[in-house]
Amino acid sequence: MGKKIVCFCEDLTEEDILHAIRMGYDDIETLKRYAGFSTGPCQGKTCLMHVLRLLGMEKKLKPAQLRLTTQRPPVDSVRLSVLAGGQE
Amino acid sequence: MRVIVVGAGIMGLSIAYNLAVRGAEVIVLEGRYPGSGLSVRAIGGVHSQWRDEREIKLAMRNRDTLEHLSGKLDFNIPFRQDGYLVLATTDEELTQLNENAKVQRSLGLKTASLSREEVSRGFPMLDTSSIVGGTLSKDDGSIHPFSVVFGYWKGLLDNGGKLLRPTIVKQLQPKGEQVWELETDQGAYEADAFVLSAGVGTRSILQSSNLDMPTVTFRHEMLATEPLKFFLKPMIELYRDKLYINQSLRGEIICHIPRAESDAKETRSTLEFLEDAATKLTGIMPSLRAAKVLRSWAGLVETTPNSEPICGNIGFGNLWVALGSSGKGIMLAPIIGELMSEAIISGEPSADLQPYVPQIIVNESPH
Repeated sequence: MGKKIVCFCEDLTEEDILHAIRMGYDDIETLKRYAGFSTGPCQGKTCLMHVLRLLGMEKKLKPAQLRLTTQRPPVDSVRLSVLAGGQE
Repeated sequence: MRVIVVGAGIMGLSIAYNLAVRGAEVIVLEGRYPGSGLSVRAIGGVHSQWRDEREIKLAMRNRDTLEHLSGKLDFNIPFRQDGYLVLATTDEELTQLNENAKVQRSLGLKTASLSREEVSRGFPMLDTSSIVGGTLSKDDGSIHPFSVVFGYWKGLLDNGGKLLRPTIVKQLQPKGEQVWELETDQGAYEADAFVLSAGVGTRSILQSSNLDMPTVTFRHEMLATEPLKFFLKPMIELYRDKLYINQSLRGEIICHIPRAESDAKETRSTLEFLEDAATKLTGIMPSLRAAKVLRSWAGLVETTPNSEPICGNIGFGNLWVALGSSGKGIMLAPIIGELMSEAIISGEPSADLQPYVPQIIVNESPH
């Protein structure tokens, strides 16, 4: 069977995530920091829902019992030159 | 011996692991998730470029501990000794840095004093037009903070310790002359010793029993850029601006600036920080103008008046406090964990931590 990739930024598969949950990194904030999803260029836009689904299935949690990781600004990446002002 | 440690940050976990290794029955109580206060928000700079002799000696012993930590905990903890460069923008700062370096060298460190030309030549990515010189310690560097949290956590469990989360501490209660009891949302705990290592939370636990300590909370803010090709070898500190810059193992440029004093439990990120950090970062490294910021975050740093750690018995029975102060928790937790656990088990204060014994304020008799 082919790989099921859930995080393209950090190249993480479903297996990687399930392994981490079974190791005990079983809340979303800890799992994020152990596995690294949601910290790459997509900032969770691609991966977070997949991981929440896996965490919910593995820990037998209902959707209402799952929570998002804290979302950090900026919503979309911004060049330092824009924030610093001055010329491009 | 049964010990309850409150707070599963880098400090609490280091103490807990070291206690468990020495045979204590250890339970760590964590209100959110391991490292959630400050430890997983830190950027991980570790250095020995202090002014004070005893602090330099502690940093040197800490480095020895860190160099062997991966093996001890059986967990990959990347400690990169890529150097730590402190830059001065005025002659006055440079004189201070050079004086500090002299003390460091007298204790056996190889801290080098660099002129502006040497900084320019050695680190061509820097715009040195505002720099007058700096000091470089080649054996210092940075650690990956998450890995230290996870490593100590694993070490604790491997040695029979427990971490209970989420468990929220409600109140510390005196129970007789020498004994305390801890009330939590999961019930009350008694123990031979209690360690408060909850960062910003420690003070409110003390206050629940009419005790206090002279600390102030500061909000610090951090940002990370998109991953870039590896180009930045030493970690960099701008001495006056208190700007800290590191390139992570994944290539992100991570930047940290202490912000304002804060009495609220406020960890919001601000646009002011992003603008300030972007201006300072691109000022010192103009090539970063094209780099994109991926995210910013904040953390609360409990800080003592002299910025030195607080570590030791509070003077009332079986209660101990450990606080890094000014981000020194991430820097010194490995050695403080060793020294504190020895003190707790023997019941005798640690001679090496003597200068850091808590100066606890008693608002009224706790008993």
